[in-house]
Amino acid sequence: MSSIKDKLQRLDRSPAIRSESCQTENPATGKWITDFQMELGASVLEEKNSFIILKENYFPLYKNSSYNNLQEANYFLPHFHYISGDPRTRDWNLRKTLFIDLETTGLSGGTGTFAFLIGLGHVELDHIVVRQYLLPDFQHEWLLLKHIKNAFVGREFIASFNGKSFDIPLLRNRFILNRIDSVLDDLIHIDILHPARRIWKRRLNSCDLVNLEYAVLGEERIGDIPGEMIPQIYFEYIRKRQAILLRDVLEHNYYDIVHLIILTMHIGKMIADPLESCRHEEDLYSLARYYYQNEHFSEALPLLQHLYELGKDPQLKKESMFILSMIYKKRGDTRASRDLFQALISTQKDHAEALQELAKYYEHKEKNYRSALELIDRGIEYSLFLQQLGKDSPLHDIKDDLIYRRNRLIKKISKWSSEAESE
Amino acid sequence: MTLEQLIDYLKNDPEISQSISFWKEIPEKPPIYGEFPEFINPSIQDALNTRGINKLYSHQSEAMQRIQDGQNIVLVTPTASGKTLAYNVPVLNKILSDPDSRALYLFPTKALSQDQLKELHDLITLMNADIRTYTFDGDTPVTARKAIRKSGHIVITNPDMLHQGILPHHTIWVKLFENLNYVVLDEIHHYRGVFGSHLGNLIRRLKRICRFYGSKPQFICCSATIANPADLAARIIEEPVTLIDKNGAPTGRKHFVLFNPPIINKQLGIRRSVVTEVRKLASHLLAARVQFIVFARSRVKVEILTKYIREAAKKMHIDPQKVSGYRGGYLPLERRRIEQGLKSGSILGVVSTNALELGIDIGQLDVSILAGYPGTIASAWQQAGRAGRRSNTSLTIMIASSSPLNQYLMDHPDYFFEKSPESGIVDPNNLLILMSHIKCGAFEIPFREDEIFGIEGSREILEYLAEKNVLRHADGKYFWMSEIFPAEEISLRSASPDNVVIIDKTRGDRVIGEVDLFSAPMLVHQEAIYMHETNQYHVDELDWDRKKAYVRSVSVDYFTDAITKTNIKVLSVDEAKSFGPLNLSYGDVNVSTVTTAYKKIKLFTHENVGAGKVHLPEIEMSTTSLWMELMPEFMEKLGIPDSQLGGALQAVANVFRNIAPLFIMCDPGDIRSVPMVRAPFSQRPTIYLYDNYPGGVGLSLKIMSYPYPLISGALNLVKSCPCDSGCPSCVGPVLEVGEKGKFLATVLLEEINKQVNSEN
Repeated sequence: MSSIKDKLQRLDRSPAIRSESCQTENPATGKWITDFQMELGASVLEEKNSFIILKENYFPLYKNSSYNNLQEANYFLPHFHYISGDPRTRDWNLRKTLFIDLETTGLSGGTGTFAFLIGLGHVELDHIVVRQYLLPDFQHEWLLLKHIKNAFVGREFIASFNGKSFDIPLLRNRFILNRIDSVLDDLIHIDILHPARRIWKRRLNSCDLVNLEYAVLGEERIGDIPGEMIPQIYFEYIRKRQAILLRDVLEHNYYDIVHLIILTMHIGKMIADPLESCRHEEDLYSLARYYYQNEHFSEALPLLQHLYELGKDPQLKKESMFILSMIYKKRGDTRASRDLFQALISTQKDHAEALQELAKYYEHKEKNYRSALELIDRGIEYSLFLQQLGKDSPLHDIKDDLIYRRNRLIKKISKWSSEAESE
Repeated sequence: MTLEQLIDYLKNDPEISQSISFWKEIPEKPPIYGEFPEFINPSIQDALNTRGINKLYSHQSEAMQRIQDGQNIVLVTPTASGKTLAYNVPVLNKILSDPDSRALYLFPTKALSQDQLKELHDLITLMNADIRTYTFDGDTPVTARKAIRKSGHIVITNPDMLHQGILPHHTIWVKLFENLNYVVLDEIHHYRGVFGSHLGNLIRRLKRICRFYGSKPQFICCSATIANPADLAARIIEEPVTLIDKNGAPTGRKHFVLFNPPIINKQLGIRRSVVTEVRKLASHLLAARVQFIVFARSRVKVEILTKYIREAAKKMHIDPQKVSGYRGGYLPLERRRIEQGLKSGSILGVVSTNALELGIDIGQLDVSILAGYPGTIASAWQQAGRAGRRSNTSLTIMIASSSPLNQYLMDHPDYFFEKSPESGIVDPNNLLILMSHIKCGAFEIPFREDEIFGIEGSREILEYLAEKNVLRHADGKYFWMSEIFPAEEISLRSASPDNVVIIDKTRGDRVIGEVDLFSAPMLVHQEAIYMHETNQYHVDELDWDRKKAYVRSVSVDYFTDAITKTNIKVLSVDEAKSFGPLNLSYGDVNVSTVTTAYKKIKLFTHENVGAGKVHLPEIEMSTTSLWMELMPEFMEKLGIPDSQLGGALQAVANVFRNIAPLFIMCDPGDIRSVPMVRAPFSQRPTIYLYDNYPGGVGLSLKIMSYPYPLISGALNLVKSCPCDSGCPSCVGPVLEVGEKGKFLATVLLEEINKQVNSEN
């Protein structure tokens, strides 16, 4: 043994990572490759001295209720851009889209993290096609990337779950390291995590994919491997070269893709006809609120009206009333807006924003200073009553504003009355 | 009172002058100018003219010329001689002619980066050019990072950020690495010992990534005055480097005073405290209304001194707010305010840690007081350089503490003033450090089999890591095969891979310090009294597995002394020299230490007032060492009785360890000594001097290659110490070395010196 290794052995006190040696347990050359075919039903793609593994699978869509609508829409998800936040998704077409999900050798990112399994999915007629490209060992990465690059030819969109911050930057790193021009930047990327959060964050504690599958799609994974174990499984496979070790990882990735596509269709259907397909008032409200914030008022109105007129949750009802009156106001229907604000305050005396909005309306629109003053006085009175709550009082933050308005109103009233007298 | 009058007063005041052990006057020096090179874009020259800079100093123009010629340079001139300008101009000039060009600036601290950014911004604004400079460190907002990566012409950062935040993510820094023309390494004298050894590897990684993207940057290094700047720079960048050290900036007349407080306890060698002396001197400075800076040795001392000097100011009816502290831990805005106040003159005095020793722009002050020797001669000159406007007189007063190094310098001013300062020593090939960075390098870009990283044998390290399943060896390459992000686990600055953190539980949980793993059993075992910043702490618990010591502030009349057994096993002898009946060897050793018990010893009387057992595992460290064997004929000649030999060897070992940092630039804790009356390896009396870092970082090797000054210095220290029979300022306390320890150490060192230096 060499002296450097001797010294290292002495100096290095970090434990070895699983000491089993790879040489002894290696199956005969070539056998482990055919195992991919025999045990996993995958095929081998070769070029020059490299090879990678490709596994292809189909998932029939007939069981899925979203499917019919999808066919009607001719693969278009016409309303999706309202929730994706990206106007380029206006003509989103599933035919031109690849869904992507990576399995990697680590979660911390950086150039030393490899994507060892790249799953790509797309929709064809009545089924989902999932192609999984697997890296059999590190030196074949260039070939893996070459196939991925080719797979994107003719596609315009790429869709992922949390790909904006993880999968896509990581894949971009891999292309740069292998000196292959990446096509990723020419594609429009839709990260489904964001629309999903917009819709379900209020109702669900967690918006990770597994939780959404369960809560939204009613799918439960059985025997799924935890994500944090995946790097270790791959390293074990690398050391032992036993294809079968990767079976669970392939399955995990397969379901990630399939469920991502179904979830996307589900969202598409919800957006296309929310009143029909949304079973939870909270989801409906979240959607309406997002529409309102992004000034899609026509889309927001029917949802809010529904929640206001037929909603069962009193809190959501009040919040819907507020947004609804804000929309009326912005559209110039000041009377309708006023009536709603008034109705809201009569059910909830401490609705700070409604109070302010209404005061603004009386003072500036109607120039009805006395009504405005009356309203503000009531608000101040109520805020004094709630003072014992300290910062928890809903009116805590606007108290100073109310007093400021009150002083201004009193000035205006006295000026106005003296002007009236002099006439 | 003018500064000149003040100087006269201090010289003649009977109480002060008795403490002055040496007064050195360094005459003023006129400026030497150089030409503005014609290849510099006129817009830069115009901008400099606007700022009142019409001429360059000779070193600046030489640096620009060398850089233009494509050479790597190291620029070594004193504080405030305009080093920054010497590299900013060529960098900006390059960017003006090639807007794609990029530069990377590396500073050892974040505060320096900020200062640098401001200076560059001012210049660029005057030039009215579209050149973007950014700092990139832990404080950079995430939202700004993308723009910096893409369009920052000059990226200013620190080694830790380069190590963890930039190199492992090089694929998102393509623009920078493809077009990197210049790398500026400022303050390279900071990159010594372990930190410097890490930095050398960081530069190897940087260059490897640049090769991947097809760039080959030129290195511009700057350093304070040290003995070997060109050698240090060349070791760090591993390329030929041109030294520029002829300072063209003018300097005013300088007074440098060595001030040794009077002895108050001769037996223990205790002198009046540095703090007391600073307080007195500061009153004189305040009275004279001269601007001054005090460099204190710790953060706590900064606070104490600031308080004292403010009180003194108040008594003299001077606004106490004109005196300020300055140290790491102050908020950035507050620090900017103090820097500004110093420049504008609204702050009269500042008390700082060595944070202000670095090139932060605070203008130039009148007086600099060094409250204790800062540890290296290079630092002492840096701190002294804070006083002295270019054309005026300045004064520096260095006040000695009781420590051996301080006392040695007081007695040997010639050493301080005549000899060149210490050498900065790095060993980027320390196997552990090298392996750490090979891991990081493999993470960044897979290693080819035929690739060499640092040493010829780097392939063996790759193989070793592959055997440990950290790397995957496939098809002629080594790939990273772990989910760990290696840079996160490797700290560039820690002296040892593992440290024990000391947590004060007196008021909440507060970290007050750390000790390296190898010293922890001796210093912070359960029931120990741990001394920190002159305060006593009782160790309530040492959690060995979690590497934490929980302490609580106490006031007791005893200290604890750990009883340890140290064994040194020699693994290889790489070099040996013989000096008559004296052998000097160097090689790899294995040091194992076990702490078994401790004694409680009463302060002042040194009575043994109790003891206890310690149950801690034995600690092993493999490192490099120098050892001195005393042959039988040597011992016969001296005739030291066996009963006193242990104390005598201990005394010599203590002096060696105490004084070694004077000759090699390192902290006192970086090197250790162990005496053995009968060493297992040689069966002879032996003194070992080893690097206190696994694998060694070249400290003992440096002494091996040139042992003479260490030995004569040790002898001088012992001979000139005024104590009777040993004190902590020389051979160590009598209790440790015996009644005759000092006398016998002198005898031993006389003979060793005779033997070794007769051949020199």
